[in-house]
Amino acid sequence: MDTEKTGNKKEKAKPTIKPKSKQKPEPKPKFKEKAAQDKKPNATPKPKDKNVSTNRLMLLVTIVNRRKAEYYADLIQDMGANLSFVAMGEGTANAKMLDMLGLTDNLRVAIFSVVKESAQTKILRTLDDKFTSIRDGKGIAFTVPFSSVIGASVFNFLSDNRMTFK
Amino acid sequence: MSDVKYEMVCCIVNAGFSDLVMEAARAEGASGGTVLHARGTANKEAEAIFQITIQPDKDIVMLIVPVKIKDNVLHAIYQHAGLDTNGQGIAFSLPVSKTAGIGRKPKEKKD
Repeated sequence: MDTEKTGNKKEKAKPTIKPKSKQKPEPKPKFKEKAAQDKKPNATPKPKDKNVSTNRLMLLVTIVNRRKAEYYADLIQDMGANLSFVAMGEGTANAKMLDMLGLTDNLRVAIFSVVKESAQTKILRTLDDKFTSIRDGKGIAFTVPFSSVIGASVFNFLSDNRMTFK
Repeated sequence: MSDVKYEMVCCIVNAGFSDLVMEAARAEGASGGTVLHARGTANKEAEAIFQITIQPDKDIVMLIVPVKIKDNVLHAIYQHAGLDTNGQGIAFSLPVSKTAGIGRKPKEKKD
């Protein structure tokens, strides 16, 4: 009987504690919000971030008709690629495929450019639009990730990181 | 842009053997490729030691293929234009992150 009584007492005591515990978490978020607000302005102007880039580099390969080489090379450069390399090539599609795609010849260029990972989606979308809208401007483009680059100045040049040069 | 995963298969063969590579790749389902002309640079000392001659004129065949058929394409290229053949080709693949202009029919063309 004694144990039961003590058990009841504990049960009765619990509900009195619960509302207290419910009330306690409410002020905590206010403190957290304040802490988060304090952190936000400090996060952007950190001097360390000026010299650090978390952007990976990607090799953008664009294969287009030779007549449109200059147009696409300029377009890619305008979109932020600091280095481009144009190589003459030829397509391997047979006559049937050429007719289907509406192409007249096999002469192509491969434009190798280095772009930032954060910019690749925008660049590929723009190229995709141009491929489908420009007459005789059909082509393909794809990106391959870089695994390593040696040299800080080379990386800054390739990633167009102008924060390091004032 | 398409969501299909692609790989870039790159094959370096002696000049004039790019057709062999394309025939082998097409047989496994690859659609087309691009051929670049290049010049190989081999170590002359190594050539003398291993008693082989490296033809400097090369063709680089670049193919974009779906990941599913990548292994088959590489295997076919190795068999038809590998180091044991006259093509003396080496082939490798690189992962492609994103693509544009592949796997979709072109829209109506403007001027």
